[in-house]
Amino acid sequence: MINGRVLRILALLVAAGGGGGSGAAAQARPGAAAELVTDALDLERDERYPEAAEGFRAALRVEPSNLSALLGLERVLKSSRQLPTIFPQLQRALSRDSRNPVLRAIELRVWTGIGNDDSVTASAERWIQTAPESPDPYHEWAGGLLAAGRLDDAQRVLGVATAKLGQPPMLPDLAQLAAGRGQWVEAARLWHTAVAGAEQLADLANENLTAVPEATRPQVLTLLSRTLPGAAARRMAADLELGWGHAPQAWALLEPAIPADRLQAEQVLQRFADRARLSRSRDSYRVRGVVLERLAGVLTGVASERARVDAARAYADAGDAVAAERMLTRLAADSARAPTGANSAMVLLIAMMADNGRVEEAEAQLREWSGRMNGEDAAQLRQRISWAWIVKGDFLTAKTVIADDSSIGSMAIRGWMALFTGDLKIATKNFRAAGPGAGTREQAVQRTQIAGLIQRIEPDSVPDFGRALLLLAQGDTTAALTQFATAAESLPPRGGRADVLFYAGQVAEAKGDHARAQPFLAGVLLADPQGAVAPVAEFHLAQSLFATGNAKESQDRLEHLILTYPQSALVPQARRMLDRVRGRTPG
Amino acid sequence: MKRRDFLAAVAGGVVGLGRKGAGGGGLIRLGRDDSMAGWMLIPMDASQPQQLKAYGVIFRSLKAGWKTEWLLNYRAGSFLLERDARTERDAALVGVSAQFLTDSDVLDIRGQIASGNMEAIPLEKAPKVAVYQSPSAQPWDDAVRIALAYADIEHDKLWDAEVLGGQLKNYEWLHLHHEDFTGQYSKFYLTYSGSPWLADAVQRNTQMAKQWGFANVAELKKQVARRIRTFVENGGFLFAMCTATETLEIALAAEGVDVAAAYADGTPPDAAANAKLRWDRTMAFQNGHLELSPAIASFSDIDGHQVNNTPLRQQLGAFKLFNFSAKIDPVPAMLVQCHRQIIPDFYGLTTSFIQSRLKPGVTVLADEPGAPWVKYIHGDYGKGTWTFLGGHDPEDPQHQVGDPATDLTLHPQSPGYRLILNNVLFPAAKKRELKT
Repeated sequence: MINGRVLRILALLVAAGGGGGSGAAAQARPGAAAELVTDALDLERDERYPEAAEGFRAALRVEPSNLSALLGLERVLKSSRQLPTIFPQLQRALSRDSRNPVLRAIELRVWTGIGNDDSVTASAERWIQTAPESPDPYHEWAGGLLAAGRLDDAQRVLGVATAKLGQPPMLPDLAQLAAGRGQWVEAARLWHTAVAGAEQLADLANENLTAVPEATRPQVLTLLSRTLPGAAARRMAADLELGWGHAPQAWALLEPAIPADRLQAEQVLQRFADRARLSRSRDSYRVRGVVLERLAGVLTGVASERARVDAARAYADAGDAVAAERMLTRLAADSARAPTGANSAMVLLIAMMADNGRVEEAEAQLREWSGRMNGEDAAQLRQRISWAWIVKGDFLTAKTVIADDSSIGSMAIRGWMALFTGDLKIATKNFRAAGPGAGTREQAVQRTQIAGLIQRIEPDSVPDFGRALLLLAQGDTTAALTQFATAAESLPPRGGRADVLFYAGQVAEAKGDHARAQPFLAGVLLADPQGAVAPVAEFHLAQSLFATGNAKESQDRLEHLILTYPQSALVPQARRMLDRVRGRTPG
Repeated sequence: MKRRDFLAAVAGGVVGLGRKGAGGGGLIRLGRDDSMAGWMLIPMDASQPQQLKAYGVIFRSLKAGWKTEWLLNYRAGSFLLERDARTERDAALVGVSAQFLTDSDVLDIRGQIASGNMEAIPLEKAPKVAVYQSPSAQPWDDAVRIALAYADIEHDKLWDAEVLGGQLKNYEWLHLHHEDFTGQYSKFYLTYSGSPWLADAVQRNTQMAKQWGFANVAELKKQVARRIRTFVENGGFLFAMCTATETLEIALAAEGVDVAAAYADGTPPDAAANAKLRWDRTMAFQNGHLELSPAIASFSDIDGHQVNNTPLRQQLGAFKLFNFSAKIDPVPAMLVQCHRQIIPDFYGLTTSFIQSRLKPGVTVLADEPGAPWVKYIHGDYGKGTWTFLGGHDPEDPQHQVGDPATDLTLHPQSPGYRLILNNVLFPAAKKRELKT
């Protein structure tokens, strides 16, 4: 199907002189090539490569040395494995501007992509001839070889380049070569020298060195944080630690290496805070909070307040309500003066208050801020507050808070309330009504799991089971486990007992309480040895036994599982674990 | 009782009388009634999901006193054994796939073997296996120990004190891996100076030399090499990989010649060392030229790939196993049983062996077609045999110091590791009168 963009290209071509021939460029109206490139880029974005290629070619007919068009043509032809067909356009462009480094780079990449070594060499040499003092031909040449894993060939090219131009311009390539050879310490040393000469290489260095294998990381860190002098090396080390998911260690390295200059400090802190956000762990959120708090101190005015709000959000994400509140104290007192974004931080803060049992405070803050929040945020906070009342055991207030709410989120809460009173039928009905869309993904998964469990329980009402779940929600695992045992006892062996025991075993395991988990898991096998949950419980039991140093019993359990449930999907995993238990594989 | 059940019970009883434990386990079930099947076939072609573990099952079965036949070139070197409950249970536990065969099925297989390039080799007794390794070495840095552990093949660890103390006579099979018998710590001394593992190796080796009255570590290792040669001469089976192959031979050739760098023994190597080497004392190689520079982690021109000698370093290719006549050459045929004939190459401090450095009479088991080097070689020496495989770890082609251990659960069908395990089972067949 020909769509508007293709028609536009055709129309522009006609306007430009009939779509071909040497006269096209001369008759082109100003801006025609740029428009053709824009349309071709749209087609490329839609992955319509053959049509995009035609678009770029059309632009090149109008303006033969249009670099955007030629680069675009290279990309789409590469994607559609038609790279060799670029030569007519490329040669035409080169005949007009043979010294252009972009064109030369395209030529070299095309030959490299085709895999013709002689032509790669010839093309590189032609480029070097036109630009004898430039490191670019060598970068491109060696880069292609490195990407193809031809390290020895890349080394030869870099040897020639270094002999002609000296080492400094080739440092990034030499570092990547060393990394390719697995010589990570040397790579780090070379990157450090390169970054010292050009700070803008820091990201590239970090990207390359993030791949250092775990076993070699201590050596690389020692080099950057102790052996090499200067704050730049420490900052590189901090960057790496952050990339490896060790945010606190990264901050410990960075803090003493923050530049004294305010502007530089601002850049360094902002970059670090931005990168810390990528890790998505509690540690990294907390560190991000610390860094943004420091940044807020460096900045002034609105920028400083904004950094403070971001810090509050980071602390809240890290679960540190105290620090988040500290950041928001000034804002909380006067919502009208708060900067943009403060309300989203307050949503987090109120939610945290509710989660931490400070329900009245949460309700007060919600009253103060709800006017600046959107309806959805306010509704979610009300549900959170309702949940907080449930956890406190005050079901009546909980119901009142969401009385006017008929959203799926409130249905989920009503489901839990029913479940906590042991009414499995109403709980199932409400969970069904809530569907998978209510709350977070994690909450949806939890709800689905519990709905699956209660479906396997025969009686409609099991108050002991509801009490156990409520105790669990209140954080009293010990009492909950005792209550689960009572509930299981009251159920038929194949009508929910095995399932409730397994659930309780998992709860105990999650708390690291293997001593309590093991009897529950063993109980599953006694209650319903033929049931679907039996092999899973036995596998968990074997894991728990191994974790508590009981390798022999763990081995017996795994062997029993493999031989008794040969059709279970867990058998390959059990075999793998059996190898580990018997010390046959590392780890 | 139904007629069918009655017949099954009677057949089981008859088989049970003839073959201890047969039919008792019933842990693996095919889609047919296998109660009449008194034989167990462990196929070793691509259908076997746990080829490496299969060697362990066979080893343990032999150890328990059962007999096995190794069906060379039949479904990539399958194993045939009489059914017994213990082996069936063992196979089921480790995930080794087995098929149960009746006498007539087995007759059919024997017919195929008789008419093709195949042979049934009886395996009689599990060999006593020893691995030469420093006490501080990680088990996960030696492909053979990884393979032995994964297949659960019982083995002992020996080092210099045990070798010099005469304990080799208690074993039938000895493995060497990346030990440097020239006493130069794999020539990593300068590159890894200051590394704790190197400092530990130096301390342990120096202590050992002192304890046994040798002037330096190089002299200690030469004596150990000679003891290993005597072990082979007296009928032992030696399997060596990586640097152990090349340095063992250099140590044997260098009796009375200083080939070690000054950092290792306090004196620079003899400038005329190459001319003084006695290759008539070695088992596999001849006429090698030593790399005497302490800064280059290469020992001689025996290795074709020179992984740490940048100007001479060669790219990795793939090696091809030779197809031997199973009936005429059962020994090399056993060593190359594999479900793949072409295997990707892998580096080691010694990766391959230059063909022109091999002694006449050495059997080449695998080479890289068109290249001047070979990968896998075998030969007799005295009453014993030796087998050398170049490279460090078949599943970690670019292995570096400090790399994580290879986890064979990710490579249960590794063809390279199969070659190692062929060597472990090979001595079990030795008692039969072999034709080569």
